Amino acid sequence: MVTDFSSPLELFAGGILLSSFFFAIHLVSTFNPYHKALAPMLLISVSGIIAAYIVIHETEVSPLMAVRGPMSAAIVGISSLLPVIASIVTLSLLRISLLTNRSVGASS
Amino acid sequence: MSNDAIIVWASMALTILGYCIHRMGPSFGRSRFGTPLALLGLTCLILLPEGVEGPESVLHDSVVELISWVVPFSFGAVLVLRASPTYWKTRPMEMVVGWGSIVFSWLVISQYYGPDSASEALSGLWVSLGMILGILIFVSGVFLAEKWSGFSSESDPLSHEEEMLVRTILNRRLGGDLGGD
Repeated sequence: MVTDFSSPLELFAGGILLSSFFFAIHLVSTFNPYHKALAPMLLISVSGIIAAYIVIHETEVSPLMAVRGPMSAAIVGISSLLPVIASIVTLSLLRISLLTNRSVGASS
Repeated sequence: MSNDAIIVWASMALTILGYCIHRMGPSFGRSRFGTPLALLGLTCLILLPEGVEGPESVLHDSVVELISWVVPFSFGAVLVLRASPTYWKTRPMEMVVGWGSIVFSWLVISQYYGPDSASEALSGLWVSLGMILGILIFVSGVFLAEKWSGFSSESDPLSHEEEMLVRTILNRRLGGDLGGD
């Protein structure tokens, strides 16, 4: 059976799992003698486990699939937002490309 | 979990690891390995998986689509920023190449995204809310760690050589005399 992780709650949980995944790797990879990583690691682990539990409760899939599925859906969801951001950046680039040699005032 | 799925997640982890190591800055020797590691992860993510199944299938396709337009778009944006008349000096050639690259990236975007992409963008908003909550949880963890740590010990004062070095750097940057030296 193929489970679709597209309900708002599952996507929301996917977002939490994705940020937990990112910050866990961040804390491990940037470890140094002055690092105080215990509290943030503990909090993001707990939040990730709670998010996975919510997905398990909602979809009744295995714990591994409860992590993989929403995280994949979250990355796809975020990538679908990027064209919107690209359009805003394009408009800004168009504006600065059309700047003329005029003095920069408060209203420009 | 298939081998391809493991490759996808390992490559993602390697890319993030490389990015985080790169962001550590030059005071940490390992930061020079950041960019190569991130590029290696990205290359593995694109090239290695063959016939991915399960939830990673859509993820892999989405990442490949994303890279196919994000790379020319970023390249074009940098060129346009460099060539724009912000300081009254325009570079027309760079501007044309930059806008050509951006137009190309929009052509690629129009191949992948249609009018029905609005619902997908809505799903992105739900994901963003989850990510914002995750970031807030992480920041509160950092805040708690800073609050609990307190003073561990007081630093030793600067040695004479260190003091001279700081004086020289400040003098070079800010000007002025060296206090009679």
